[in-house]
Formats: sequence, structure tokens, C-alpha cells
Amino acid sequence: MLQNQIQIKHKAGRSFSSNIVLLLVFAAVMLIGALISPLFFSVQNMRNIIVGAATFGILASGMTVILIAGEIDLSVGSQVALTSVLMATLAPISLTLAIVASILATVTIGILNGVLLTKTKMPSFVLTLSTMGIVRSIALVIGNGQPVYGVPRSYSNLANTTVGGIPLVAFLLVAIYLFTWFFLKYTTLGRSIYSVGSNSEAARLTGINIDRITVAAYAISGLMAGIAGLYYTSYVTLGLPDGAVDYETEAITAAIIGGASFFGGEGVVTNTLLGFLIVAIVKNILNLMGVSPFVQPVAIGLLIIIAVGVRTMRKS
Amino acid sequence: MNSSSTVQERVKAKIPSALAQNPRLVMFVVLVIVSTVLSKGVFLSPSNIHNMLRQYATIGIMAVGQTVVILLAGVDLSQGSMMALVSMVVAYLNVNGFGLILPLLAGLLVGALGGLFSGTIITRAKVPPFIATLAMASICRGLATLMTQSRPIYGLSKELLVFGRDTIGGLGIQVVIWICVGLLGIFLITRTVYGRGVYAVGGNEQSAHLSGINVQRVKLLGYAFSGICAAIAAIVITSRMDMGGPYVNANDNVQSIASVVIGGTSFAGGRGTVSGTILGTVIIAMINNLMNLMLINPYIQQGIIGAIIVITVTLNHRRAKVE
Repeated sequence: MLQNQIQIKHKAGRSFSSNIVLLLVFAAVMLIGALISPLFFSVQNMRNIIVGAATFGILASGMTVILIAGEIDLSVGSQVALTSVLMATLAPISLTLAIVASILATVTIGILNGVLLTKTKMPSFVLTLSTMGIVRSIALVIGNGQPVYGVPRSYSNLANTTVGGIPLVAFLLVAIYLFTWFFLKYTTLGRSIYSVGSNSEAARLTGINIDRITVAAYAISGLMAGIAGLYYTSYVTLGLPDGAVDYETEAITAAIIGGASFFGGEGVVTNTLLGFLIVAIVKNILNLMGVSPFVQPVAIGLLIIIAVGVRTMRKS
Repeated sequence: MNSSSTVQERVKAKIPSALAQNPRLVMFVVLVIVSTVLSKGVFLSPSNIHNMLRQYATIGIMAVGQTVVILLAGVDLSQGSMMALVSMVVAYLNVNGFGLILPLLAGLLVGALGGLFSGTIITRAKVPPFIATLAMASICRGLATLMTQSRPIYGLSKELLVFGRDTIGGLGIQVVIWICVGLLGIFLITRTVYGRGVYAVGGNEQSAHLSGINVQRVKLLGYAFSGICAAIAAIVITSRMDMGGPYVNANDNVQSIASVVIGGTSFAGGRGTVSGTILGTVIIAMINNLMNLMLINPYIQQGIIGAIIVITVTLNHRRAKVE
């Protein structure tokens, strides 16, 4: 008990110091952006950053929940693609139906991920790598491998809509991060996810149904993938069965830079939000510098390695 | 030879227990029968089998390297992107007048260095293997597309096309390469000190360390081997497609992992064989061949591979639990 408390205090202290590091990194990239280009702080550029990267931001909040549970979800990119295809296919019939069907589909995929994982006990990256292929297949079959047109103009305009100069999606992001923050901090389910992720055996002994918690975490990840897909559809204005490839890597990057650990039990969504903004700004700076867009995956890969490497080395 | 005949006798004697003990072989036999019946014998024609093997040689070669990494309780998610990078490097050097040998050596070197880099991140910075190699995949894909702004490189010299197109004694060269890499893998894993080190580290890293095995070196070499296998596969595919492709099949990575899984290697590490993996690749090739024969929508195929991974791992897990 006492040891536990010490550990918690220790963790709190570390998360405080890593908070400061994160804010410093954030300030540093903002400063670099300002020095590199006068366009960086323009309203238009800020808008572009948010509108362009929002899909990753939504995915990253779900990924944080999964990482806290000590698992991973590599199927979210395919889920975004499936959502966009479903939206483009069903929206001409009814927009409400399309939205409901999309969210139902991704939440079901999330639940199936969770159930399969708890039943088979296979490593989560293997399972979700497999479901990534399965979901991608479904999207390709529905869209017959081709882009699907049929998203109503009124819906695709939403991505570019601003309210008082602020893009609509910024409000969506704030709402999603508030929801996830509240969920993880103040609900029993949310706090159970932390305890399952940090020590599943201890969680089991305190009477937590680990399987149910894992399934719930994947359901949240599916929900977020669905919402991300809804936004993605509006942003790209059509259904792309082969779109959103590697989006899971970007979501993971944001969560890890924000301090989520691969060993579970650690992670704060507000930090993920900072991690997401840091990644989005770094990419924007590369763009403003006129660096080839093909450098971006290299930068993302290096960011992952540096973020995880620094953290694990500091721990040991 | 001897052991395979006893296995066959066991299949005849007691199919249910054989199913439990060697599901791969049963899967193989069932697939041969089903494919032969459905294709009215076309499946068994030498040209169909040869084509199938030629097509899956790249995945077979990758899977040999993947086996070693998974035996080490790791995984290599960067093989697909590494293939793209090596394909681009080889094609770039070849097209720009560096002949044949230098591009090939450079390609193999890129594969080895990439593997060593992943291995270093995993052993030194203690980054989980699937994250380190996922990051590596991103880096390789970026570098591959960066070289020509994501345009393929055409106009390779004639002698480079040998690896994907010519035959030796009627057998496609890429199949010969697959067999050689497979034999090398089997030899490495079963007959060398290094191989015993791989099983020891994968089985129990702590006790391997205590028994004096250099765990870090074993892992580093494992990832380097996986990178080299990806590079060899890249040379074959570059030669077969007659171009350097920045987007050569990213899906191959999943198929290479699927081969290992179907081959009976456990993700927990320390248990599995390269020969099982080779059979695993042949089984995947047969499944895809069967789907083509049955005119199944090609878009479903990668989903089927995913489903097969899930089912096989589940069955393996059940079997391990029963044992």
C-alpha cells in the first residue's frame, strides 16, 4: 500500500517534469516556426494546421486510451477509410443513416478487436495488424477499389467552415479531448483502464473485470476512429477505400510524444493534445521551409524513436 | 525425410490428433486436394506450381528473416518499406551507370544497416520491437519516396533482370534464391551456435544472459538478417517488375508475418522453425492461388490473410494451452 503510494507520487512527479519538458518542446517548435517564416503565425496558416491534421488529433485521443490499457490499435487507419466509403455510399440515401452506420461499424470493429484479443490472448499488434487488413478489404470491396463520389456538398463544406474565424473542427477537437480527459479521470471505467494497463494482475485481484475493460478501451478507439473518419470524409470530400494509410502511425506518434507508454498505465490526453500539435507544427514547418513532403514520414519515424528512446532511457 | 514419412503415417492413423499436432501439414494436404478438385487438375500442372512459387519467392525470402526476429520474441514491421527503399537504391545505382555488382552490394548493405539500426534502437534504447520497426518503416518509406519524388525508376540494365525472370534448369532463379535463403536460414537456426543463441534469447532472455550469451549481439544480428532478407527480396522484385518502385507491395510485410505464424512460430519467442515458415509461405501462396482460380475478388485477399493470421494464432494458442 505504502509502496504503491510512493510509486504514485513518484509517477506524479515524473509526469509533472515531463509536462514541463513537453511545454518547452511545444514553445520551441512555435518559436522555430516563427523564426522560419513570417507566414507561420498567420491566421490562415494556423487554420491550415488544424484543418489538415485534425484527423490525426481525433485518432490520437483514442490511441491514448488504448495505450493506457497497455495495448495498441493498428487498425484505425483502415477504419477511417471504411468510414469514408460508408459515408460516401450511404449519404445519398440519408446523411443521418450514413453517420449512424459508420459509427456503429467502427464501434463494432473496436468491440470485435477487444473480444478477439481477450479470447485469443495474442499480442495486440498482431491482432490489429490482421484486422487492419480485414477492414481495408471490406472498404475496398464496398468501394470496388475506386474512390466513391456522393458526399453531399453541404457535408464536405463542414471541414472548411469557420465560426468566428475558428475552424469548426477545432471545437470538435476540444470537445473530444475534454470528453476523453473527463472519461479517463472521473469515470470508474476510465480509471480502471489505468489500473489494468499498469498492472493487470493487481487489477484482477481488486475485482476488476479485465476483459470487459479491454473491450471497452477498444470500443472507445473504434468510436474515435469513426469520428475521425466522419471528419476525414468531409475533408477529402469523397470515400477513399485506399485512403488514410499509415494514419495509425501518426496517431501513435502524437500519443507517445505526449508521454503515453507502450507498457500501459501511463498517458494523459491533454499531453497527447500537445504531442499532436507538436507533430502537426513540425510538419507545417517542413512545408513552409519548402522541404519535400516525402521527408515527413522520415521525420515522424525519427520523432517516435527519439520520444520513446529518451523516455525509456531516462527511466532506466 | 524420415520424420516426414512418420508424420504422414500418423496422419493416416489418427487424423484428429495429427490435426492437433501438425495443423500446417493437414492444411497443406487439404489445400492441395481442394485446389486440384476445384481447378479440375490445373492446379497440379507444373507450370501453375512453378508460377505460384515464382510469385511468392519474395514473400518466402522475407519470411525466413522474419522467422529469426519472431523467434527472438520480436517482430519486423519494416520489411515491406525496406524492400521499397532497397528497390529504389538498386535501381537508382543501376540506371546511373554503376553496373550490376555495386548496386546489388549497396542494396544488401542498406538492408543490413537498416536492420542493425532497428536492432540498436531495440537493444540500446529499449524501444519495443514493433514500435522501433514501425518507426523504421516510416523512415524507409519516406527515404524511398524522397529519392525520386515517389516516381518509379525505369530502364534497368538487362543483366539485373536475371533475378526475377531467368531460369536455371527449368527453375526460376528467384525460386532458387528462395531455396538457398531457406536452407541458409535452416542451417543458421539449427546447426550454429548463433541459432542456439536465438532460441535461448527468445525462450528466456534473462537466463540466456545469465548463461553467458551476448543477448544484444544475438538480437542485433537477427534484425540485420531480417533486413538482408528484405533486401534480397527487393532485388528479386525489382528484377521481376523491371523497375525500382517506391511503393512495392506494402502488404508483403503482413504476408511475411502470416507465413511465420502459419509456420507455427510463437510470438512469445523461442519456439518455431524456418522449415515451418517455408511451408507457411507455400500455404499462403496456395490459398491466394485458390482464390484466383475461384475468381474471388482480389480486394478480399488481404482480408483473408488477416483472418488466417487470427485463426492460426488462436489455434496455436489453444494447442499450447492443451499441451
